[in-house]
Amino acid sequence: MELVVLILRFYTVFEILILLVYTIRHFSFTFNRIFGEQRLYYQDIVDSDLDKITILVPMHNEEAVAKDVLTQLTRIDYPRDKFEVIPINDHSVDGTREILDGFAARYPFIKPLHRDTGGRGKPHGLNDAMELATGEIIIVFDADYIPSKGIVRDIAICFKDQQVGAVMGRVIPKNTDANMLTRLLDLERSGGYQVDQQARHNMIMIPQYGGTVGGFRKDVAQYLGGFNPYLLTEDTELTFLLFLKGWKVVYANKAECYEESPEDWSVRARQITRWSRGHTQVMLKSFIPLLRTGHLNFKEKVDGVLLLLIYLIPLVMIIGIPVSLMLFFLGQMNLIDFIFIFILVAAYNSFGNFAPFYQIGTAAYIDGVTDRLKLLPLFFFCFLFNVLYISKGAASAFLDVLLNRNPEWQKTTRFRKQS
Amino acid sequence: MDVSVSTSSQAFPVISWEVVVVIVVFAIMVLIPFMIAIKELLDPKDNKPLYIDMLHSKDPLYFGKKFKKIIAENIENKGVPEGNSEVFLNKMESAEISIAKWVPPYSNIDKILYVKGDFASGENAALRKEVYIKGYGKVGKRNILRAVYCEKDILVERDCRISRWVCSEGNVHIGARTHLGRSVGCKGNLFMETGCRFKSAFGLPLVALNGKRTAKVQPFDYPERDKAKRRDEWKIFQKHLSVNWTPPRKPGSEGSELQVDTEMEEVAANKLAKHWKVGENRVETVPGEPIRYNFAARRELVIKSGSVIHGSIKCYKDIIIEPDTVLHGDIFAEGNIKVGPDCVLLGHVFSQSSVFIGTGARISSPGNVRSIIAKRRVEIDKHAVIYGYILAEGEGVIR
Repeated sequence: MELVVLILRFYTVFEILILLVYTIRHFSFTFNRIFGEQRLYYQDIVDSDLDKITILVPMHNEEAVAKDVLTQLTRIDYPRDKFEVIPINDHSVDGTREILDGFAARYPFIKPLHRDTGGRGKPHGLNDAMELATGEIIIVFDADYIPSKGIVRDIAICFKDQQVGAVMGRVIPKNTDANMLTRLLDLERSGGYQVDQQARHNMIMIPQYGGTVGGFRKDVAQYLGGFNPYLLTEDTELTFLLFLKGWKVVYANKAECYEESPEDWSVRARQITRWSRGHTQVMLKSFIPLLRTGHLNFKEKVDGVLLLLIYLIPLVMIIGIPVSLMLFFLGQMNLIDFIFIFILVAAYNSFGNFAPFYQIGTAAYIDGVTDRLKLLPLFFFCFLFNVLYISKGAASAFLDVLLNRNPEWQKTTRFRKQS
Repeated sequence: MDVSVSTSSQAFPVISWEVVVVIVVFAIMVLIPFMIAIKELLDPKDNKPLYIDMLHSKDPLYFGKKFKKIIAENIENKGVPEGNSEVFLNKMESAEISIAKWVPPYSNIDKILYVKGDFASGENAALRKEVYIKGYGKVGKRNILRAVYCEKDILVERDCRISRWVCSEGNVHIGARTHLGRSVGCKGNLFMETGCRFKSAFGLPLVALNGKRTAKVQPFDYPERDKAKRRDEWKIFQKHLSVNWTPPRKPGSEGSELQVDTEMEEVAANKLAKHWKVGENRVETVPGEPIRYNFAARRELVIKSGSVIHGSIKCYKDIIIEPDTVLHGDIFAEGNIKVGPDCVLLGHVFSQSSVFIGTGARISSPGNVRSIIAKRRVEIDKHAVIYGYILAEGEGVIR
């Protein structure tokens, strides 16, 4: 029994410490964004000799959105002889094929890849498309995205820095006004990009390549083995593989692109479960190599570890609830002097719980949109929702390893009406 | 406060009114933020997506082109007659349309000027609104301007203050100690004399002068009312400044070899199309064979005089490029970049701190647009020649 109590106490202290570490992390990003030196991105570079690029747009039953993204891609400001677009029709059964063929007939630089055989899913599609791509740089947009005229140039220009292996732009939800969920997701996205990603770029840490509104070097991605079709977050894997091999990932805050957020809580649940499961898969693969690599300094390794573990934190918190209850009913909550516990808990509740909120608030302030901050209290429900489904995803990833099973790729449901 | 429990036959404890008040107040305080949030949901004040300019694309002549388009839509296409008018640009503005325009010294003009021919202003004039010139332009000494667009060549004399931008489809010559506001750019040659200050500049090329104007200028001076006649057609530049640009040395003539304090490690070498190396400590090159790869340094990087590098370089501290170096790639640094005299750099120069371009240095070459970008300052010494774009978030200055 004493051993059990010791383990429970140890777990409680461990949980408090780890939450404290993430509190410090969130606050340091927020303070950097407000008070720190803001590092330049490369979008101001003017170059008459741009690299050849290939734009990939994975699609599976995207007839509702395909026209919008392809129409925008016909308007981008990039030399016509220096880019091509490969929409990847991945086992679609709706009108996607006809739409792509229609665009290909009118625009010679649009070269659809129709995949009716072979493995399904975005990683498979990207791997096949890379074999056909003639560009040195690959830029990826999801099918529901609406790129602006100059975004492709802004993304591609960073590869003039030979150490850059991948770049991530900023995602901005377009359907913000649909319902409460989309409004909350808009704030969440703002916090994640305007503050979190930008701060990591400023502090030369580990900005993340997100798999869309971003790009990477084709030869590097192929050298690293392409995209793993059994990972649900191939973008996170690419991020860490690049850093482990000495390349860098940069964040382009000014490369903004509209996306469509989930409008349904069940769709959001599946999305976040998938992200959590995939991220945890990457964590299990990359944790030890991250600690051992010689290409990263101490600061980068610390940030990398915290980034890898971030989707485990809700699981840690959920496990902490019964642990705390057990300690309470065993009368063993006196971990240290009560006053210190009180101070610690009070401080954490004052600052720690609000650390992500400060990020969101800072992002909204920087964006010049402050009325939407009135929705912040509703993030309490979002928090509970996220804890539940992120924990589910993380637990599934561990089960995948134990049961030696491969997860199936799932596409996010679209809500836009066909244009 | 006390909670009393009745010992009588009552089943439930009696809670005192003070406790009830505390609970009610606590509940209200917890609910208030949610009520504000619910109100915002039901009556949204701020639910539109963040604005993205879908048509924006990086263009060093953006301001001028945008102004030209506005002028074309609202004055030229509408055939606004000569004289004073009210025209709608982004809002209703007073404008003066003339065949040619002379602004006397010490004038103060508070309307947009659209000049179908040549323009000139005397010294100490103030032009508070934009000026559009279809002919040649000459801005007198110590003028204050908001912005000027010129379809041909334009001369801005010394000690002027431009609050927004200067843009030309021809050549531009900026006199000494002129403050250039947000941007100066042209499709031709951009000459800037000592003491000029700017945020961004674009020229093909941009040439830093030592204060002596080598081109002759015929003064433009005729009364404003004499619109139909001009004395002579006049040119701002009799001849272009001759630029002594020499091509980079051929590989092998003088070169350098990489010699470092510690062993350089190869990063993803050989199997990649472009491989490169990283030095963990201070890196210095020494003369020898040309370097034919990209490399990076975590500490200071010194490219010794006479080096030839066929690759890009990156440093997490300062980069010092000594005189007479030739670099065929791009330069990226977290610290300062100091380019010595007579260097030839054919790629971009990008610093998270400041950039210093030495006397006679050449950045890029004819027909190839490259950029110098700095978070803090860009300082350019005389006779430096840059084919392309300069942006300093702090300030750019011609020394």
